[in-house]
Amino acid sequence: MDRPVAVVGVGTTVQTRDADGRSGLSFALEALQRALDDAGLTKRDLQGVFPLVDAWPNLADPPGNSRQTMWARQLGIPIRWFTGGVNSGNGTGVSALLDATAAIRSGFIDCAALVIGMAATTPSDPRTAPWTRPSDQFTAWTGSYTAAQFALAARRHMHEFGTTAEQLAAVAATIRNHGHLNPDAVMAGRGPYTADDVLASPMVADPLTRLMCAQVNCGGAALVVTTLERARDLRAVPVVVLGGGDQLCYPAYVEPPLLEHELGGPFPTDWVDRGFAMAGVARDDVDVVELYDGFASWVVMQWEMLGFCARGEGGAFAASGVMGVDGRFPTCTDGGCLSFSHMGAPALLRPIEAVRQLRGDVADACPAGAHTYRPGTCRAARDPEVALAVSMGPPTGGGNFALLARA
Amino acid sequence: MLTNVVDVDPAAVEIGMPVVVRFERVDDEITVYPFTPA
Repeated sequence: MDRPVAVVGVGTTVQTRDADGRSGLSFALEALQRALDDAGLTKRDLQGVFPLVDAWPNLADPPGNSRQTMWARQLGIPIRWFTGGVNSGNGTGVSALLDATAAIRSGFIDCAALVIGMAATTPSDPRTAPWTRPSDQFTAWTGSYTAAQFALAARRHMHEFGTTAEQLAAVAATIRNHGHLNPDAVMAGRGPYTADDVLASPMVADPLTRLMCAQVNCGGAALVVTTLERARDLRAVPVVVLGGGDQLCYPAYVEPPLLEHELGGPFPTDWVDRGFAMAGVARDDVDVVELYDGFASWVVMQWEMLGFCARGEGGAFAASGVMGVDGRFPTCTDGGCLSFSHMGAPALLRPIEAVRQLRGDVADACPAGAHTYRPGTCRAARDPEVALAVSMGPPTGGGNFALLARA
Repeated sequence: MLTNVVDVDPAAVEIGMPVVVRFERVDDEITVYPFTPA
């Protein structure tokens, strides 16, 4: 069996710095209901659920809080597909999207949901990305933390390739200015920023200033996929999952983020070419790009990973204007992790924004139904047909991407 | 592997700088390994 697969529903809750007493499960369930409503489906249409919540209420030690058994009981439905990519926030993100697509395409199931809810990843919570500082003799005593670790890789990239802080600042300003226009962004209205503003913001970990670093917040998100055949009978404009790829090279975050050069040379990139070949599109066909912008330096490295520029040229490429709404590849058009939302494991938000761009479902400062495609007022890509979404990339030990298209 | 470079002005630290490890015994079980300029 080989059936085309489409995204038919997306849903997000409020993205917020204050969970206001809600649990991650609460956010997740609301997001799932929104995605099902968007699709015109119910939970009884689901056979696969790829979930992630930060804790399961009333379980003191919930090692299996994301496991499908809990979800089967919570939703009151049998779940017949149990895997889920680990390379982008456990059960969610691009890896899970590709996994769900494969399960549907091959006939194991007909419909699946990816769902995430996070409520305990506020900035003051010491559990924020705890996996980046394991309590072992090689990390714990150094006082290291997430931004400092990514700063090491960023500094190494600058040393190896001549990437500049100004280029990183241009990346951050572009993305944050998209978020400035997004009424649903945690940082809505916070901007606009120039690259100089970004450079002048307080230093977090050299070379990363505060405006180059993602916030951490709470929220929920969900996405529903099914066969394209069924999608054509549903209410939303279907968005086809064309293909993609995934690669793991070392334990993401468990070890400090490293430039691949420190591990014996660049990782192979043939998996990216293979993903484009599977999708039947070329890089020039891509109209809008949703990268995982946990830090501005991460964006630079993802452009290189994806082959949109040569290794080492990511800084110049990213800062050349291509990422703006009037650029060749409008990028992180919702404000990304920097301004829209970064709920600890935000991976699912990237393909969701890709879907919304392809549908033309974009709220900004433009008059309703009349996007100007001008920076400063608009964050919509112009008539996009193909979108690319990433939920993991170097220097975290792996990467992934999915290519989506308007049906 | 992460470490700390100590006994040096942070602004003077640069990639490629020669350093030497200094093992510091914390207690009977733990010894840490900061580096100092060579």
